[in-house]
Amino acid sequence: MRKKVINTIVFIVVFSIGITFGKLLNWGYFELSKEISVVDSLSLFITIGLAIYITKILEKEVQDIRIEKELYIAKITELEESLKSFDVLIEEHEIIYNKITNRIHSCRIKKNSIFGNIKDSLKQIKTSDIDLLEKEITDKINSLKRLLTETSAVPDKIPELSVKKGIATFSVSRIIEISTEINAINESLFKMKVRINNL
Amino acid sequence: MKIKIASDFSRIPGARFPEEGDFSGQQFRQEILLPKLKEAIDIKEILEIDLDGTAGLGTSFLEESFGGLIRIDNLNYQAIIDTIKFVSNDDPEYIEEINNYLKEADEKEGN
Repeated sequence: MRKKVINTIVFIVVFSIGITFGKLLNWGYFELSKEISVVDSLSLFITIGLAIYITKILEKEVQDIRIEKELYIAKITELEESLKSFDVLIEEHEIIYNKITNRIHSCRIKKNSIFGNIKDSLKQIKTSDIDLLEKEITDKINSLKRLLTETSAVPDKIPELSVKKGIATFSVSRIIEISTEINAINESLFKMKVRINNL
Repeated sequence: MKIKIASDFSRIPGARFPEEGDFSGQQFRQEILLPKLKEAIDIKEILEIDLDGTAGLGTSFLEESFGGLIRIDNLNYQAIIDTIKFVSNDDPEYIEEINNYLKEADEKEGN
């Protein structure tokens, strides 16, 4: 109740000051005509229409690009996770060779799908930029595939990868090579994420 | 003529040699690829090799299957290239990979 009284007093005071200042200072004023020409009214409607149209179109476009960007970044993250899973897999006691070939096969399909879709829909990125990144990542994934699935054609004393009855065993040096290659691929994928995010 | 690895050999091809596990590259080359390829070369027909539908083709399997045609069976690189046509919609990179193994085998043989 007290607060209401204070608010009313403050309102009356501020209003009075406003009126006093208004009377003391003789500022210029606008005259509003009730008449408006047909041309002016048409121009007004067109301007308002265009403003609404442009705002909606631009807003939709910006939102579409943002959603698309997020989608691609999520897909790249998925590929990163698949690649990281090799680090865990090669440390396992019994590594099933076919599991490795299947995972690297899936990674390549994912990678092809990401680049295919980016080329089709993210026209903001230059094709030459995408081609360069695609070649860089493709070469690295192919190199990883070789490290993971190539057994020697001639008997080695200490093989980097040996497979017996479907079970693969990696040498310590090969495990390090694989981890290094996975990190290199992840670096390239990060570069790609940044490139997409900067659009 | 046509070979579809997934249905004519295995959906889950293995590694290089039979002792490494089931469905090896050597087995595929000896039992399926080489006889058909020789026949296709003889009758001058294209041999279509469909790589789709498998769980994945490892480097060893592909190198032993295709590189082995030059390294072990002494087939001519050009005759192979002229006769084989690959189909790989799932992962088109297999085609380039196999072509590289054929080239590498040919270079190693000093041709």
